[in-house]
Amino acid sequence: MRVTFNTKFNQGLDGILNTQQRLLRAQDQMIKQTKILTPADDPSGSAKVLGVGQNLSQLDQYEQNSIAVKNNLGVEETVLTSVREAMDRARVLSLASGNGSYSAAEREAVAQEIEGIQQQLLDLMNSRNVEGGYLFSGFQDGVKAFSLDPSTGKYVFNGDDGQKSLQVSPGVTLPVNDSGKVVFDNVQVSPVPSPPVIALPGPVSASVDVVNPDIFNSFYVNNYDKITPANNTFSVELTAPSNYQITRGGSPLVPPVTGAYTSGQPINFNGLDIVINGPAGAGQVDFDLPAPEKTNILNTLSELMVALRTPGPVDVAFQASVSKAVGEIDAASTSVASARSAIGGRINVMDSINGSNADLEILATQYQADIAEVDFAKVIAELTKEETALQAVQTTFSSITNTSLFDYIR
Amino acid sequence: MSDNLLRIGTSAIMANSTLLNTTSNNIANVNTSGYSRQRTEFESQILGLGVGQGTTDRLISEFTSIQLRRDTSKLAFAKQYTAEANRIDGLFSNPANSISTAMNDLFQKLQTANNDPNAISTRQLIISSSESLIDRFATLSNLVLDQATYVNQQLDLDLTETNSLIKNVSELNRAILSFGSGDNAQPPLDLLDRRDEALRMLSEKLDIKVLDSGDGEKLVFMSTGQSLVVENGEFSILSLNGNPDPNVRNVELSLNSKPSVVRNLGIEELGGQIGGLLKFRDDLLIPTQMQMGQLALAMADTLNSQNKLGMNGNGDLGGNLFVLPQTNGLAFQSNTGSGSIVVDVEPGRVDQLPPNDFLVTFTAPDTFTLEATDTSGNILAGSAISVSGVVFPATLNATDLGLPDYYGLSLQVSGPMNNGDRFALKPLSSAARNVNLATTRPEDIALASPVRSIVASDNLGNAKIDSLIVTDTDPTTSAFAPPSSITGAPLQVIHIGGNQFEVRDSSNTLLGTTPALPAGQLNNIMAQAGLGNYGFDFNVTGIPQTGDSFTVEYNTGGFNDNRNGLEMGKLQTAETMRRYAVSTPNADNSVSFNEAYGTMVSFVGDKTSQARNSQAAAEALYSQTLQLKESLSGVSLDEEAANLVRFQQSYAASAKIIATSQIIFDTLLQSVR
Repeated sequence: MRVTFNTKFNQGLDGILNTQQRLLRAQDQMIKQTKILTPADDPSGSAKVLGVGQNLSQLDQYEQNSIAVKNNLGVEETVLTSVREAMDRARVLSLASGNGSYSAAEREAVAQEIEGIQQQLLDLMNSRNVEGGYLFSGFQDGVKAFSLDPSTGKYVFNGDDGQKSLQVSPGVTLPVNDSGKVVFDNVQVSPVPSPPVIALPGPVSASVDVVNPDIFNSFYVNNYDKITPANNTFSVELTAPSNYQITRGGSPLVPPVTGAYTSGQPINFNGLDIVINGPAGAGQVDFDLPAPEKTNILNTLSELMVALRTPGPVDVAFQASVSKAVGEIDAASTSVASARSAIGGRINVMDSINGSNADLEILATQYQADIAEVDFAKVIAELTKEETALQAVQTTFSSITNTSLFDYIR
Repeated sequence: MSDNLLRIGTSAIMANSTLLNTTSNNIANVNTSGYSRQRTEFESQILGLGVGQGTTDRLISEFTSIQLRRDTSKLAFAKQYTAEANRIDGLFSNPANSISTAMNDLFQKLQTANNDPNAISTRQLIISSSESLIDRFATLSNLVLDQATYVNQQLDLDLTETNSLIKNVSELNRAILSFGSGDNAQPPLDLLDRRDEALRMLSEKLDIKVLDSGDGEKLVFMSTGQSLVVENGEFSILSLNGNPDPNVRNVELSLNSKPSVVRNLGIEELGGQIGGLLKFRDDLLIPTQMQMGQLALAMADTLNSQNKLGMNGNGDLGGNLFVLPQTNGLAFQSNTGSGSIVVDVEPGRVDQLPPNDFLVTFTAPDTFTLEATDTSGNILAGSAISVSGVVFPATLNATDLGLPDYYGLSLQVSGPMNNGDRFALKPLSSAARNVNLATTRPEDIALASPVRSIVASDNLGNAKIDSLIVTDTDPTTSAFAPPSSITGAPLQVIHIGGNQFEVRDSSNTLLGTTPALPAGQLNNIMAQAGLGNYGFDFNVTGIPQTGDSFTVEYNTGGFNDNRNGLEMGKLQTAETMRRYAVSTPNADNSVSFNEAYGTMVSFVGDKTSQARNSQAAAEALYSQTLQLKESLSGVSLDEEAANLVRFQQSYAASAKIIATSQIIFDTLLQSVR
């Protein structure tokens, strides 16, 4: 092949330019610390890097969210712990006040301490969260959770059932608050049947008392009929010659409940003691199941205070009030305890998710590095290689292009 | 006798002088582009009387020239394509420009706002992150648009150059012709060289084939057969046309003597720089524009739709966060009717919008077919949807027409239209830079859900309402009434026993009753009660007692609620974009935002990488062919230097002949006197 003047220069120049290009590219990779300078360097790798980038951004956000979850739940747990302590104190006081030897002054002292506990509980139940809204108001965190309704004298819940959740992993959201309705306003008022009414003449007087609250409660929950109110009226019919039959809403029970009637003897019916005084054979006594009602510890304490402040000796009614109060305080404490354990459960879930998120983040970062990051040793070796090559090409360029016959002929 | 010697000497001197001239000419022209080295050859005279006529010829190989032109075209094509592709490729390499980073940032800000839906500051961050995302879209889209403009400008320049080259070849043909041909005529070597060089420069612009006509002219044809330079110097001009989209120009051929006769050229036929530009435009630039447009529209519309399902910071039903642009349909120049089409995205249907352009063809004044097209304007088979009985002016979309799929488009058509009228619909090409925020008020972000449920406090069972999901807040199709209420709310849902529920409105009118539902699966109560069009639904979990009731009402004052915000967050990884216009029912035709962006980036990277490889291959071929040509036709200074010495010596020798003849003559004269 004939080597011409142009060929010599073109080849040399091409060599220099190409080597310079490779050198610059290696330098660029080192400066930007990535193998993928433009998507053309690794098309599928670029797409993967984008996917991993989104993943990492999400994981970062979940970490932030879990901090917020921990904060919020921590505040709630602290509040609930204080509530529980106050409730325990109230329970002790209630039990003690059932002591028949307390005088009026001592009962007044107990009432005052209970009032103090009630205000403390009201304050705790209206605590605010870190963002300044009411902790237990559900979605309507601008509204005070519990307040005193002046027309009824009862403490009512003003919020709603809502729970705010935060996303801590792609499929898991954790609630960060609980509604005051569920935690505090969930105390079932111990049902007490309404005072008996003599529907058909015959009996002289009658009374219905709860002797076994547990049995009566479960009977009540399973049998109260909200659809047909008539079914909530129970009647004790005195039949000839000296029997009684208990009917419901006018119809006999299935299976029928009957027995022998003795005036003044209590009839035991699902935890109730029904005492009727009067001649046998005719008459009917009606009593109703009360409508279900939920209350909160604040109202329980109000009622207890009223009972403590009622003048007069300690009697059966007072004892009944005290035992009702203790029952309701127990129910309230249980409700708070279960809320606390729910919080504990959520924190456990979150810790576990945090752990796996941290691992996933490490894996994702590693994956990204494998695809895109530059191996410094490799790149520096490449840089050195190209530098040497460039020097060599430049030297040979001058030596090749400097030779010409014209230099040697006269 | 000395007479002969003189004659021989003279012819020798002349011949050597010519040889020296030729060599000097070669040396002088060593840097002339397109110069082929010349060599003079002599025949000896008859009767041994010296050197005869010499002919100077160029040393070229016609075969090598053809090869070189072909390789030049290929290299110019690859170079142009790669240069443009590298620019787009570079746009996506800078993470500061990256749409993926901006999208991730927006969803991060959304999550932060979800943590505290009440705070204005976190909502403000969402607004500013959206602005930044739209800004990135606009920047990228404008850069791509700049490139499209550059393509058009470069096309103009290239065509002007091409036309002048064609003219040049034709003029050179005429000039060479005038020198005549035949044994005695000395061919005009420099004109031949110039013509060859013009042909080579022309081959850079586009693929050509060159044929010799008998009389010394060279006829130039395009590689597919259309003539560019014909006998007697007639030539054709390439010019541009933009139909129907003036920004997407095509190339056509027109006869110089009859400019009204035109023929469109496709890119496959062109080759060279012009072909490279057009292939880049159709293969890479336009698809990138369309994919970017689809992504921008998809993000805007899905966020809009989700925002409308929520309750904003003012307690009202959410509105649009983004404004989607409208585009006008482009009428073909051959249309005879005077109608027009305006294209929108139907709100909520962007998941049916493919990354394509569309063609509307009227087959009758009131019937038209909508088809999807690929980037070259060809119709995709199987994508046609026909509509007939159109009364103008009409707004046509999937909901109005009752079709499951109208590509997510909403067309406003106004007449009159004639049979054969066609419109090109390009909703995507400028979408990415025309999406705007509809509001900058942070309260307009609807993080809360517009409904809430309340368990009645006197319930005896432990049942709760779960999965309360809003699917529709449009007042025409749901029970929601703007600005902030539900018709008939608060609704009561009462368990009447046997896992049956009644739904009653605020005045206790019975709205619907569910059948007896299987225990443990008390799901979709509203739908089961025949109230599926209320726009929301829920399940009941737990065991309800007879008479238990639940209230469902508008979420008035519920600002610490982020349920809709959580749904918005899920959009980040939801599959909300359509991949193909035509696919089979079982195919996976949906992708998420990041997947779509990743597809776009790897598409650009892939095409650029292929282009770089093609360029490397073309360069290797070209340099090989060039070397081949150079080795035959190139000037080697060393060789010419040697020749100079040689011809100098032979010149000196020839001069000596004349001197000898003179001495002989003198001697003769001396001896006769």
